[in-house]
Amino acid sequence: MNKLYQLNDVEKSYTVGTRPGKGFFSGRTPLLLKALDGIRLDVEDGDSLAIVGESGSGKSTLVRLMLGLEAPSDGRLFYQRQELGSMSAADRQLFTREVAFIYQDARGSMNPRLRVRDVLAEPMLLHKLCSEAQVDSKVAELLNRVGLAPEMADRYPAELSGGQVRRVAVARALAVQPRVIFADESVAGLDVSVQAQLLNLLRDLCRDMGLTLVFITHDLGVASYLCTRIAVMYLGRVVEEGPSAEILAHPHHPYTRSLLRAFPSFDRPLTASLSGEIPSPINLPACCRFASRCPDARDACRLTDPTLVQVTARSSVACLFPLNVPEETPAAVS
Amino acid sequence: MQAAGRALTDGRASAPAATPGISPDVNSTTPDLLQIRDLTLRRGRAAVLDKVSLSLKAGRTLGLLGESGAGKSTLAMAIIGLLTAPQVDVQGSLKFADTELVGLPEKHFQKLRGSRIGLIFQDATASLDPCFTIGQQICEPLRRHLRLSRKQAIERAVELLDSVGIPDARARLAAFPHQLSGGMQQRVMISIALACDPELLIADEPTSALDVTIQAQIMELILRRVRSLGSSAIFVLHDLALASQVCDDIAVMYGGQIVETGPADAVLRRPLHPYTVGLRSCVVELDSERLVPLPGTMPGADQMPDGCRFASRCAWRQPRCETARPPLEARDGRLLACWRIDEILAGSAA
Repeated sequence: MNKLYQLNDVEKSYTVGTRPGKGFFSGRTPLLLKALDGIRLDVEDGDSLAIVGESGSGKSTLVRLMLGLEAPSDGRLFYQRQELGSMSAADRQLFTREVAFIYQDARGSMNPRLRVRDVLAEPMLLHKLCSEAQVDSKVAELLNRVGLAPEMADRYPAELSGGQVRRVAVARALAVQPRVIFADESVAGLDVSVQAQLLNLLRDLCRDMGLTLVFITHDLGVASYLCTRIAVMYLGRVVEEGPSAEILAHPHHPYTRSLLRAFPSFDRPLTASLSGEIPSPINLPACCRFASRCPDARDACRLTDPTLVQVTARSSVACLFPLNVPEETPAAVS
Repeated sequence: MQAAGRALTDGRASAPAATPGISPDVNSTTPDLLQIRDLTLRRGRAAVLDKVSLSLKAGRTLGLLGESGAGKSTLAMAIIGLLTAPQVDVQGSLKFADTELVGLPEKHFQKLRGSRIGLIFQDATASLDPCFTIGQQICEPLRRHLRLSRKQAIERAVELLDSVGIPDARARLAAFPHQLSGGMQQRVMISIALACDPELLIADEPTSALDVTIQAQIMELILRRVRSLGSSAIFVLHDLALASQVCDDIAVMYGGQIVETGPADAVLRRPLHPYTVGLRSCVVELDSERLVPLPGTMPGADQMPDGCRFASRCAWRQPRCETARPPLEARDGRLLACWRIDEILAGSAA
């Protein structure tokens, strides 16, 4: 299959002031916040990938890099075998058309002074996908596709309900006839009824139009409903990656297992599966990042930093002592 | 003050508390802590709450469920008397222990809030005052309601922060809210709400802004504290699965009315009202195949029909539903407001 995205050991760090305290190096050495640390990830054409993790795990930074909004501090990021940072202007413009983004705050991402019609028309005209005369019919078609009445075209974003605004945001993403859609927490904070409508809409759109979807969420239920693959992130690293069904049934990383246990369910009692919070990404430990919260941490975990290795045919995990691993050696499986 | 004595002794277990972890059976001899009778709240001409009747026994937790605009938060705010604008008209009765809260003067309410009724809001960042330290904000109810001295209040504040799992509590007293993470801020809110050992805790979406792992920690913390005090709690929630994990009883609201209420096990495992059934089928679970969203949206509070308010979205609708409001009647171990409930019951049994 055609690889749409290829990320090779991508890193992103930000300078956040200088080292405090006394001594020669204080005030001179920059303090680095490592938001992403060695991300290796492939996205194939037609894939649907969910990026799951707690706040502070680096999900949104990863997407900003993949959208080309920020450049990686290290490592290489390819879109269709072209490095994102060194694209020609023409390729870059094609890239911005092929890759659409649905923002987390749908209402905030729209100009409040533009009517829905103009919100949707702007990207189409910018990329010369239709002429001024065709705009109205195109807008009606887009609204119909996301299940909104054509009269909505004359409304302002402030006049729409939370569910309607998000549908318009989906329509705007579709307006540029993209290949990939990135969606950042697009169903968070909605009523279950509206959330269910949007999830079905996104799922049907991706299946019918053959779109590639990269969905960021902290909700494993939503992730498995929408996507066939899940990448679990923790402190700037992908700690587990594989098919949704396998990850839900047999998680290999203790962090994934904790996320699953904390997921509210009708059949299980409330379990606080993890204590403490995600540590600060400044001054990361040299050992396994999850060791400080891991219920199964052993001495080796506090000494060695595990890398992402393949454990079954289609999934990889970064853990020294992965769970649910079949008896055969990984090499025999592949 | 009776509450002061309770707060300072460590022998909280001596209170007639429910066994932690085990939800107490409905006992007819336990008095109602909160009794709501035909509570109607109008904003202008729109009835935001329409003849709501509910009761909550001491030591039990109640979950209010429904979509936005169903009146869950309004009901919670009405209980603590935070809806007192001149255009708001409240009728009916709201009895907390032996006090009638409808029409209670603000001065008396101030003595209840924070001491006998604790509050946790959804957005801890917005509810904590950015200009005061955590310590000042926890000490305020302790000094005001329990009349503790400065020194006593600080000691008690350290204990409280410790009990909600904030590391290095004494040092944290001097921190301002923005120096803490969202989860830590919500822990501070909980310690303020529980500072005076309230008999009733009202928590409006206490964890919807938090990660699942932190949500589980915070909910477990609230439950443990509420149960060890033998207090009751009302949770306003939108997550049905979470409600089934933390609530003894459930009241499902739609358009300012209660449509189904009863023990959480019955209401959420075997929902009967078409609205509850619809909500339940929208919930994303780890093994969901296909979600069935509820059609349409809830009418605005000023456009509510005379008959059943859910009729416009209901698959069981028939002419009678559009003309007369169904009464809340006992069926199958719960209370239900639906004209066609007997047919639904017959269908589900078959």
